Amino acid sequence: MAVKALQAVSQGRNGVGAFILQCKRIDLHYCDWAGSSKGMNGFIKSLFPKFAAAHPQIEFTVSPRPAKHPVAIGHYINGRSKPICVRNMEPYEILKKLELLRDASGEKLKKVTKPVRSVNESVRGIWSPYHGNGMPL
Amino acid sequence: MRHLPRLRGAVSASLCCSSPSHIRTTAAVAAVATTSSSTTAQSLQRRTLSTSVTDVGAVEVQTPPQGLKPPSQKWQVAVRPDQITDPAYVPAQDGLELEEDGGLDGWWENPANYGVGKEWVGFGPAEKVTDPAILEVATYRALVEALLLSQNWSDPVAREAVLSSGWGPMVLTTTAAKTKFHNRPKSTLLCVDREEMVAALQKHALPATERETQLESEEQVETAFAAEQEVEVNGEAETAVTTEQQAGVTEEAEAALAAEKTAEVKEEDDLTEGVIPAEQAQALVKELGHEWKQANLRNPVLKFFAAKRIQKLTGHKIPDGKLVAITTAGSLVKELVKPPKAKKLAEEIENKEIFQSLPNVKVFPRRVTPIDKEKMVGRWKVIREELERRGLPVIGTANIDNAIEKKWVTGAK
Repeated sequence: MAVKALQAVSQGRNGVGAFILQCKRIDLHYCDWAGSSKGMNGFIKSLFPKFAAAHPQIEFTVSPRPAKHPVAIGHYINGRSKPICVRNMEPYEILKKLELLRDASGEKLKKVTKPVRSVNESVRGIWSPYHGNGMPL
Repeated sequence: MRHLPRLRGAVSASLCCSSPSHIRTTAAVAAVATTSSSTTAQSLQRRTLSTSVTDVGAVEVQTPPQGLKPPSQKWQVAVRPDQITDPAYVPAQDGLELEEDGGLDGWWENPANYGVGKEWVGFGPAEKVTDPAILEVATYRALVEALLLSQNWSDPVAREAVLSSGWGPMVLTTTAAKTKFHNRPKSTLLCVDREEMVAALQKHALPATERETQLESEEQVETAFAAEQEVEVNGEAETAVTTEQQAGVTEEAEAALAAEKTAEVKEEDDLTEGVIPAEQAQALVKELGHEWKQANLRNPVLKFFAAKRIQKLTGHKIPDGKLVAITTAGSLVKELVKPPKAKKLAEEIENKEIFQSLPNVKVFPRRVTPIDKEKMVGRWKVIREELERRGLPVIGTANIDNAIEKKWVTGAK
């Protein structure tokens, strides 16, 4: 009897081999006139060039949005997007928000009760009441 | 109950202000200032450099604004009712029916009463010079003047020669200073020989005849002003009959005085503060070269004088904080010659080429509209064709209203 290999579709395990960042694009919007954009305008000139150079895998777009508060919008590979309003924030605060967008998965926020999740099956197998010796009562 | 203390006497004379005595008061104050500060004038002028032409011993005397016409103080005594011979005369029954003569009605609104005194005259030109060549030449001129004056300040001839020389002569004739700049580029600025400098400058300063006429006109103006003051003093003491004539004379004298002063100021401006043409400035920049920009500029008095002179010539005021950081002539030029500040962030990014080396960053100069987004993915052409085929508006809503259901839901009328 010939041994046949089990046919299985490979599962994506991000980070086991290569790591693909979930955030694919970040849009930055600012206003030239409004005071709430002061920090954002300063950020684009001072801290943003270094951040953008450190993340070549993310596409960045910078565009004005007159008479609106400044916004940073992250777009993810699952199709979702995550906008954060950064009005009246200092450049370093905005940098923190951009790091948050970069690290986010794009999923909806959920309450995490179990800190560890795994796609690997347990080495002990799934418990069954019909197997084993059982426990006499 | 609280009792407020009463005023014990009349208000002091210094608090009261009356127009005719204003000029005399200021003159008296100036006279006191002259006597008290004349002893220290010499030492003060050695320490603080001024950019205006003044005599060594003289102290600035406060003068009234030129052409100012104070409201006339004339008054008339009305003829007694029983002595009126005019048959058409009807006595007034009410205060409102009385005719008003004189007073301050419309005096403040009439600009002719202020003369040149009302016009604001700034220290430097109102509009800043932006041409880089002119700024560079102005910096060089200011530095040379500062250099010469700091060493020859006590000499009135040298001082006047420097300050009254124009653009071209000042820059071109100080070849000795230029030689010093060029020979020792990294050393502290050195002074040239005084006699050499005066001789060079006097060649290009005002011709002697013109200077004499200018001095004569100044004397005439001063004499006229003194006469005017006397007229005013007499005018107060005399009766109403003579005041009218004298007021007329005074007004004429004031008008003439104002005209003379204006002409004088204009001449002075043309002489010293006229801006050099850009082409001439560019030629001078080429001639001067760049070596002089390496000269050290650490002497604070020299630097301050140069900054003050630059402000007078170009209208650029250098803040103290930046003035401290300026250590060479080149950095002074760099501080002045700057591209105009960008009004928009996108322009600034483009000018500074911040994201030039980053392929993952795209900067848009204007708002990215939904149509722009469709165009980016190449879908807009298809959308437009389909909209046109269906007879729908491509941009906007045309005359199509909102859905009627919306009104039903919101209850809006």
